[in-house]
Amino acid sequence: MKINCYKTYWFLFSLFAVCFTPLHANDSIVFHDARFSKNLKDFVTINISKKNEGPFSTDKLDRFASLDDKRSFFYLGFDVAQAYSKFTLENQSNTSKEVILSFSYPFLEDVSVYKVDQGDLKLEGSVGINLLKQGVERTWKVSITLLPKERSLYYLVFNKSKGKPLATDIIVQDSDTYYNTHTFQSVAIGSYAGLVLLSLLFTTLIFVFIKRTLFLLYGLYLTILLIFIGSYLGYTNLLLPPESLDVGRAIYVISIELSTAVFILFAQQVLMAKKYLPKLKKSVEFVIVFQFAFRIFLHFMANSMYAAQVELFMKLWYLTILFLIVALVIEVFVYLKHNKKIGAYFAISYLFMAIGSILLVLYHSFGLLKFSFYGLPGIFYASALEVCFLTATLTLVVGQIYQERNSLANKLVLQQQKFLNAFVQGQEDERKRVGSELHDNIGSKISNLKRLFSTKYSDEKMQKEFDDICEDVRTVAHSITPAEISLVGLSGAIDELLETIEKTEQLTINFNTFQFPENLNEGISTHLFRIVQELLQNVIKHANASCVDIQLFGHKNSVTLSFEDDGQGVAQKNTSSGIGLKNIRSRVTQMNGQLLFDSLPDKGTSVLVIIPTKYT
Amino acid sequence: MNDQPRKILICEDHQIVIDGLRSIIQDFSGFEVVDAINGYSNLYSSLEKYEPSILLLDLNLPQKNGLEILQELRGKNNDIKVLILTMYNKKTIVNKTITHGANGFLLKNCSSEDLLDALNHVSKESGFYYGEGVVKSTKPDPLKEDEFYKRIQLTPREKEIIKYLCDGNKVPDIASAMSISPLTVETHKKNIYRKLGVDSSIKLVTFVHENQLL
Repeated sequence: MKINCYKTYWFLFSLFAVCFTPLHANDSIVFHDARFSKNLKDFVTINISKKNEGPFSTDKLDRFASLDDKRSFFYLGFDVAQAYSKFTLENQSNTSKEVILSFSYPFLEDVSVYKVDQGDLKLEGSVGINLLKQGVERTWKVSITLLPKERSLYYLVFNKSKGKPLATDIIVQDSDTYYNTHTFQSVAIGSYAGLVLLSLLFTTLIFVFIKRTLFLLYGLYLTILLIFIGSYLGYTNLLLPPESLDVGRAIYVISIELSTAVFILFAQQVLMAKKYLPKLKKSVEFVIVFQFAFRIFLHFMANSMYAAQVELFMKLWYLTILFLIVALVIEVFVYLKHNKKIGAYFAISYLFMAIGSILLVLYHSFGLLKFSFYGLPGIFYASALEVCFLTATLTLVVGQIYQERNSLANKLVLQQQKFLNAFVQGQEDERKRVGSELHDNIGSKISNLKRLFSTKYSDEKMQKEFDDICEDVRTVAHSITPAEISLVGLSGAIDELLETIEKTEQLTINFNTFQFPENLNEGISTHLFRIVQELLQNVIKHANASCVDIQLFGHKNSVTLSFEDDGQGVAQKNTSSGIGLKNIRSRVTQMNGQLLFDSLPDKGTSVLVIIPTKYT
Repeated sequence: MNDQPRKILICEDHQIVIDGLRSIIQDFSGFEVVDAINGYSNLYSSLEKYEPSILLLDLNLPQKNGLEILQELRGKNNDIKVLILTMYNKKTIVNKTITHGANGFLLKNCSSEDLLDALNHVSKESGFYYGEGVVKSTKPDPLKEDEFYKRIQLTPREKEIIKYLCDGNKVPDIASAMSISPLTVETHKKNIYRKLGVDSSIKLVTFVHENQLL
């Protein structure tokens, strides 16, 4: 975009133009062929009347009082009903020129521009929501055409309802400059909408995944903010039918109200006001509810009461908003004190919005200061920055939450795994200890005792008793430890196990090995033996099976246990539970193996255990 | 011929059992306990020193178990008579001791008469001595031992997967058709290949057809 020197200066100037601009020297705007862009307020005086004087005419001029106003924009106070300004346009070029007066405030009620033509007033154009005429662009504008070398006097006339202050910029530009600026604004607004929509999508996704109301609240805030900014930038004037343009203002009022409320509530949550400033939080919430209810009540239900005391109510409203923003700023700083890292981002984003809001309120209520850039209001930029920062911050927060959760979950799983492993290992050790104690020590001693006795007394009954005790000890010892694994290997131990089971159970068990290594290490053998034992117990207890196939396969780098039964099977969902299966899982994990379990009702169960052997 | 008592070496890790055996064998004429050791570590020094003719061997020993000791002795062509003395009364174990060349099998809770019988048996005869109550190993089931028969014993799940494989299905399709995980199918397939001794799906199909497995 081409900006000449003069224009740059003007933008910088208007950027920080606080109310102390020097008074205009005269009321003439003179222009040549070059582009120009001027702030009308620098050239005119405002004359106001507190009564509505009816249709404007030059003979009523003495009913208006001149206003000594140093603001850089047009501001009509609460009690003003009608106002006018007089200005002269002079076209020094040799071609006719189109000059455009654009108004920044979208909710003008009734503004007309008259040209003094041979002593008469000629209407050049009128805009405003009360005129039931729809603009084709989002901002109000009046277009005036000046002939070559023409110099004319114009009157700008405002009609407004009392009680509502009016603050607007009026820029006088040649049509080219106007459309340039307009293009820039469109791009900026489009980007803004894109940013907000993206953030909205993002926060919705986060909400779906994390299920924290905070993100829903943020999404709500974004939506309302978009509506608010949209209506403030005048889009309601485009979208609504001409006869209900006033609804735009209602939307603006509700959305600014709601967005303030949600913004503050959201901030309360994010800034953890409950923790740091519980009292302030309560009063803030009270004020929000009060303000919202009151404003809605006045606007829609008690309109006459509102109309009578508009000024009071408006001042009250602005005050509550100021209070909320101040409270927010306090909260930001308290939060910043407690949370250094992420807090800073939050604080920055909130400060943007808080400052933007203060500026907005001060501008529209008391006309105190103005902040705009390229014809777009400060609040627009403030909220864009805020959304940017907030979304980034929330992303960081989500990252943090995920990291915490992940590390916590990992720790938990690891802990559980450790516990279970320790438990299984402890069980195994204890079994081994008790088993060998019974088997080797106590068993041996009893056998010995028996022999000692038998050499001295040859009592058949006693001998029998001794034999029974030995048998019992042996049975118990063997049921708790497969000590013979080291003697006969895994397949031998399983053979033995099957023999005892087949004695008591109505179960056909086929057991085969296929190139299964004989010298498999004892740890793995014991685990696999226990797994087979556990699976068989499950089958006997629950499966109602008649046939079981147990197979051991030796592969290149692994061994596989395959266990199939023709029982009733289990539904897939129940497979992960059960102490037995948990135990098995733990054993398999300890061996770095894999447990594959598949079962369908009435189709039997198949269990595969794959144990790597290369690195063990 | 009781001129020279036969020398017995006890290999056992419980002192009380050793003491008991010593006191019982003392009463047997013709037998003498020359040494008792706790395990593998001092086995060879004792064998060299006393040159015993009978080894009373426990199976459950600290460093090397009895079976391994037996295997090693026979591997070194040591033909000392080995009499297993253990608590384990399991067919598989008895069978293993026989295949590894033991001469007899006694349970620890045997009577002194049984012990004497066993000692006499191993010193004079060549057959395997079964102690009182020791489970006799039955003749192995010829059908069960047959490698081929063993190979073609397919489980229902394996049959199902073979059917799919022979129809030319790939692992992921089989998995989804059977609603089990691909890894499960893959593992079954690997097992089947190992079992039937094939290494490709073509060989599998040929094998299945030749032997009419399905």
